[in-house]
Amino acid sequence: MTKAFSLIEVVKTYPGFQLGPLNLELEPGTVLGYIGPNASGKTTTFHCMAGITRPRSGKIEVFGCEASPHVPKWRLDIGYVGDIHAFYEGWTGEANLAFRSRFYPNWSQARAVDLAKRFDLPLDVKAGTLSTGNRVKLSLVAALAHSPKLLLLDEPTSGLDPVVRREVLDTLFEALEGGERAIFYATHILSDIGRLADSLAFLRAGRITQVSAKDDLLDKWRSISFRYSGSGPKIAGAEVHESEGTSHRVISSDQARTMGQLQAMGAENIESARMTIDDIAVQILKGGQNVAGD
Amino acid sequence: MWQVIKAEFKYRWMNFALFSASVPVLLLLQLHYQDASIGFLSFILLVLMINNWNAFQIREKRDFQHIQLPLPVRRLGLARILIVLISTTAFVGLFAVLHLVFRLGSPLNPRLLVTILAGVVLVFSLVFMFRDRFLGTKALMRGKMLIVAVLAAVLALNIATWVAIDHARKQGLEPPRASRLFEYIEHHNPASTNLSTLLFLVLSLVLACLTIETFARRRSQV
Repeated sequence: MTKAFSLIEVVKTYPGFQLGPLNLELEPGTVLGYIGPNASGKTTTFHCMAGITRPRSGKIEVFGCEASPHVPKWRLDIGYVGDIHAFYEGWTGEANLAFRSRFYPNWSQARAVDLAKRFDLPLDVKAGTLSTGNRVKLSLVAALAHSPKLLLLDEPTSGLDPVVRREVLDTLFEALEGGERAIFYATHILSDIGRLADSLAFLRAGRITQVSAKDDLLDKWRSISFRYSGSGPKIAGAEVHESEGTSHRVISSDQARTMGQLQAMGAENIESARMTIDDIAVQILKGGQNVAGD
Repeated sequence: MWQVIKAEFKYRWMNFALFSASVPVLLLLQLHYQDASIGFLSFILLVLMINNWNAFQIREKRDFQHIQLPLPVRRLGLARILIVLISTTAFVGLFAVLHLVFRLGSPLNPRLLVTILAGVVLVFSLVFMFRDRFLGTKALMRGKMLIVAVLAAVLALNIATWVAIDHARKQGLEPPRASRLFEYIEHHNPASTNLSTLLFLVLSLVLACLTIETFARRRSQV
């Protein structure tokens, strides 16, 4: 099956920083969350994918088409919302959308108007006078109105109030209906990822450290407390180990292994608690280890 | 591509309209008073107008917006230089038409018109190529400062030389050596002969074509 996108050995360098080599792909009908600390290279990845920045090497494909700046058919299939919201500032939102509509055969003016209503976005106001939040909304409308097959969303809900944020997430869910569309989504709001993503890719210092299905992470990671009177046990799968006297608490990235060891060594009062995807993501980013291969 | 060009002209129509009105007026004043400095001013105005369009385009990151459209990148590069070419041709054409309609005293010099057209295209081709090469780097800002400093120095030198020549003339002194350079330029500029005008035009068009390639080879749009 054709991938929604494939990054093959993509490298981009800046003085003092290298992104990649990145190898990443996404199935149609799924959402991949992209998580990483500031300056880890998330936005650069999106810039490379949207054709804003040219990678030093590697190949990017969108639904099987090479993302070439000279043959831009692939651009019809993507909707991009990034860190820069560029418009004709002296034109209204409506005029800006009308300009973009001329380039997309699939553009639906009715859909654009409907989305603007849902996001509570005034279209009769000049883009230059819109607030940051409203500029994000206008970018979202512009990215969604031609019903792209792949959405590239770099922090799309930053600057939005909770009500609109929820509306945006609902819209993205609806976009996924039918199973053909895919979303590549970066955010610092981990609860959004928890709600939306099927799998997560973790980026640290320009390298992808881990790609995992969200359900796998939720199944494997546990916060486990127990009592053990012996001295300094090394716990398998433990990412964090805190102890006070005989009371221990570990955060495990492989609960089956951890539980097995604890039972074998005679630990008492073992209690295992599920973790939220937010907590798991924070632990992975703190550790930066390839937990999946652990 | 034409949609982008159309949008750019539509967006900055006030800018183009104001300068459209002022440039022919200045050129006609030049012909009436036979004062070359008025004509020079119109050339500066023309450059300023296109520069104003370009500055707004950069400030509003419209390249960034256009590059995301499903258009081949070379067509966007072509659109950029066509806007300069169309604007300049329109002004020069307007001037020529006014000249013919009002049957102004001095004869119309087509070589001068072509030279102005080629000069504006050449200047902006160089500006675009410089920007394409250094966009996204710190060298862009340093380069801009250097260009401004060089232009200011050239302008200051120009004014100082004119003042010196004028002073020498009034005092009945021998004109300074620099006046020979001015005389030389007056008789050896691209508008001097048909061949030099043609070569200048060809040079500017070659550079204009090169900007399409430099745009396509930009490493980054931000």
